Amino acid sequence: MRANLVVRFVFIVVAAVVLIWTLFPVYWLAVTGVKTQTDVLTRPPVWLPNPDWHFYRDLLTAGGIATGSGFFSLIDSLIISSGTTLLCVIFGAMAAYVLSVFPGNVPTGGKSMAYTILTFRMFPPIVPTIPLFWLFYTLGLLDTHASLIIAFTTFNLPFAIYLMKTFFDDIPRPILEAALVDGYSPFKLFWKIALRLAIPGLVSVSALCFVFSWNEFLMSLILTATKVRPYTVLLATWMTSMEIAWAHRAALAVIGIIPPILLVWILRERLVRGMTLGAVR
Amino acid sequence: MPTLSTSGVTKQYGKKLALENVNLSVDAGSFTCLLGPTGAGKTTLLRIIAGLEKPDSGAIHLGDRDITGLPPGERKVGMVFQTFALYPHMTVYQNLASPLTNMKLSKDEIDKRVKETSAFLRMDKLLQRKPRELSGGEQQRVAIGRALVRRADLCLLDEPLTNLDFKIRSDMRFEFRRMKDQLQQTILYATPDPEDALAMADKVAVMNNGRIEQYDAMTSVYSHPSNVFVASYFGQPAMNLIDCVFKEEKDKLVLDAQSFTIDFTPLKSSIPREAVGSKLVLGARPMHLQLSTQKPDPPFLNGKVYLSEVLGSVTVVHVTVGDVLLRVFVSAVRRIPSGTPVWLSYELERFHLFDAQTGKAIR
Repeated sequence: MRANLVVRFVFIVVAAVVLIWTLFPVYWLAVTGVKTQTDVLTRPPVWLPNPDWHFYRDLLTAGGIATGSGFFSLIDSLIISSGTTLLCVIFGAMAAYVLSVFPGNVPTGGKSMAYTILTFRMFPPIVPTIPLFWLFYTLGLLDTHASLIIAFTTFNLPFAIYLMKTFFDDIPRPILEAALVDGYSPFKLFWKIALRLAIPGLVSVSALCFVFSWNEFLMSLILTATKVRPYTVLLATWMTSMEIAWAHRAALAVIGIIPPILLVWILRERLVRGMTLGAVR
Repeated sequence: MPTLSTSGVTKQYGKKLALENVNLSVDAGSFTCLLGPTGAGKTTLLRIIAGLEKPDSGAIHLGDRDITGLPPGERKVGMVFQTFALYPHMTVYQNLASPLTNMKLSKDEIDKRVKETSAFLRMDKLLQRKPRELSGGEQQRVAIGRALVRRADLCLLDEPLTNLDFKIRSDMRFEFRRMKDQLQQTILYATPDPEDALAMADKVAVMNNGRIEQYDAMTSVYSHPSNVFVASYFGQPAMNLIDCVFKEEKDKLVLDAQSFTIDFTPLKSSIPREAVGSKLVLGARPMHLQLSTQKPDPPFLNGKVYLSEVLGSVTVVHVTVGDVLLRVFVSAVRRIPSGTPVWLSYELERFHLFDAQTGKAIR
């Protein structure tokens, strides 16, 4: 009984430490965002400031020095992430469907394909970024949404295909064969049967693609300049003529955390089911 | 009039020959069973006919069309899978309508046919349900309905009873017969269970190791199995097979099975000369041995009960005669104590004889 209590106590202490360790940066971020200009860098720090929302107001409404860049960077990120997600899901699902259901129509039966696809994700992102810079420079696509959508799609599509394929693989073959006998064309089979049965996979893939693109920094930094500026880039580089905009950055970061959390929250049930469905084979 | 004919269909998976030169012709409106153990090639043959696999060689004709190269959807063949393979996200109605939608029929025509089929299979009340809300037997009906609704030239059934409970099986057997009789649907039915073939088939093709061992009317295959495999496989409980050899003693012809002898003199004229002296296998169906606990009129064998096995409402008594164990069918529930002395009377005409080397039937 006593030993039990001790174990419990130790467990709670450890859990509390881990929790504080993990959540402190988030807390610090949130708090910094609502401090007044003078409180941001004072010593000793202000732990629980009287909330001042003017940085958020600056970000989300017109007015104030940083207005345009903060608000529009979020819009930029949203456009880029949604575009990437859409392309990855559409092409990923179609490619994965063919690899899974008609491997005979793919060179080498699709066996080396999955491997090739995965190796695509193995080298560090900076390696292809330099050539991509020149490529987009030549095409006149630098500093556009398109450049980042193309770049992110290139990198997320292999992963999307690979993950989607496990979901198509999980559909019992007789269902697909019955559909072929029933006269479904390969495309109709994809659209009316296979895709409907792989919806958990679709959800997982979209969530992951969105989060990857939303949080991407390195390529965004190199391929954009002034017209397009994803919020991750702005977070790292935001300065005004007066100061390094710490509070603005904090506010922007807090807003930036929200979409992925919201997305995962909305999709959580399908996501969890999707993850386990894909994993347990 | 043959509706389906396969000629020289061969299929190889790696080193394994799944089908070897299969020639089968199925009459329109007939119920044909492909009977054989797992791995005999039944499913492969059905899948090739449906167009889900390509044969390495050979051709398939349906009516006067060569369908060998056609995609599955254009063959006018319906198929029921062992696992039912319903579309889980569609209602029963949508499941039944899907082949018709693909045929681009009008909405009214689709509705009419779905209603007809569901009425025939007595599932009109289930139309708005999803497959997961149905019992196994009901799912099976939907799967059958989906194959029937399009009025295909041929309906393929791949072990449709394997995943069902014992009780539903006999109901479904009746259902399949009704389907064939009332709708004149041509049916090709693959099963490992001889009882399916006995209960439903007009004709039986017994398959083993990718070959058709015998193909004939059900009753002919049963009463005249062409080889040891067919004899042992087709029949429930299985035929007794005993190694033996003929011996001539003066005018008499005696079958010597080590543990017992049987006087074959009355049938001497029907035994080919070359069979005498060569190694043979005697085949005796369990129902052709008459068990009695008192000494009957000859001819008979005598032995001791080894075990009584009650199956449903009949009994299979295992009897040791000398060194061999014979299965004997008793059409009643009886538990005869082990060790009880019993007599087995027989009719000579009922015995089968096979060449031990080739397995081929001698008589």
